[in-house]
Amino acid sequence: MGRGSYIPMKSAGEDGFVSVDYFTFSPSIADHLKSASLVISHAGSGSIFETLRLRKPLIVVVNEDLMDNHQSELAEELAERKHLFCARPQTLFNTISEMDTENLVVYEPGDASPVARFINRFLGFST
Amino acid sequence: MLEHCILFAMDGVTSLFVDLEFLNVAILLIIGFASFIMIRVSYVINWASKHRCSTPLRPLSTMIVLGSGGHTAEMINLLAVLQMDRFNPRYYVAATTDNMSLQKARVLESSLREKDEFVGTSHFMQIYRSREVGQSFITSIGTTLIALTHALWLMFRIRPQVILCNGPGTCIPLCMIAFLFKVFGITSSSIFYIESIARVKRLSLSGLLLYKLRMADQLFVQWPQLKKQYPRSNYVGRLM
Repeated sequence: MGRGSYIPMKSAGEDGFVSVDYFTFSPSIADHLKSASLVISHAGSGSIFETLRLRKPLIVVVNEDLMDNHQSELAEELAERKHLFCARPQTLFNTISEMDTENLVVYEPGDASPVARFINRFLGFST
Repeated sequence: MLEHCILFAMDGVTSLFVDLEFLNVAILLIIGFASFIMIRVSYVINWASKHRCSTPLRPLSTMIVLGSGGHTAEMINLLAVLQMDRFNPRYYVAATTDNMSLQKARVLESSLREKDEFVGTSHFMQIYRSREVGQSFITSIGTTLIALTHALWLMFRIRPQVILCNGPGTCIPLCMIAFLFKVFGITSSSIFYIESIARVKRLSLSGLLLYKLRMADQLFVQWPQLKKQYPRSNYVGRLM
């Protein structure tokens, strides 16, 4: 998958097994997110906010191999505010077994109008 | 014979004096030019970035630099609440390697038109990036030069009055040229930089450059921690 060598096995979910499906690219994963009851994602801001807006429990796994590892900043800040769980590849199992999604706080989407007002005022437009 | 020698020597001395005088004038000119530039730069930094007092009567031509992925999503959120009739015409710029961003801007523009308000005109253009991920240092010198020339050409053609950008590096050549245009009095554009929501503790390299070199008229951050660390920035809450 991706640049890795691991290829998951698809499973229809019979005989009490978990059903598994995968794809390498999709222009929009909105429908998949909507149907999920738990999302495990990388630390990209796009995936994080798309999931939070749908109010789905989210575990973000931070990739420590990335050179400029600023991505963990956002995940850690949002984890501190209890909007999501933040895990490392080694601690993901622990996080899943110990988490209590009741503890999560709903993320209220941000608002761009303060920036817009500031820009308008700076340029001399009435706000 | 001796007299001749002295005469020749005198000749040499006078020509030396003329040379020195020329050198002095050249040095004075260089010093004068350098101080003119310094004064212009400090003027541009200190005065041009203060609030515009006069109300603009006409819409302002605006360049919107789209980053990629998350950066573009944040910019689109801002554009969705801006009164677009004031920022007109709009020039969207994205990297040649970024296929999605201009597409998203087109979707936004057509949704604005469907609302039937007057929103003016929009243009879409691509710009070469100075460096791709993983590119070697030697070849990146060449590509940086190409990117700068391209940015210069775009800026000359558009001469925007407002530049909106939020990283990553694509906006840096454009902002630098816009700043030089201000120093030389070619065009005075207001540069707004919005740091990505992904930056909680430290500014990105692009943000840091624009902050330290004071090239952005206003720099916005989305987390209060950043405002504490960079006092000249403006904390405006989250865009996402």
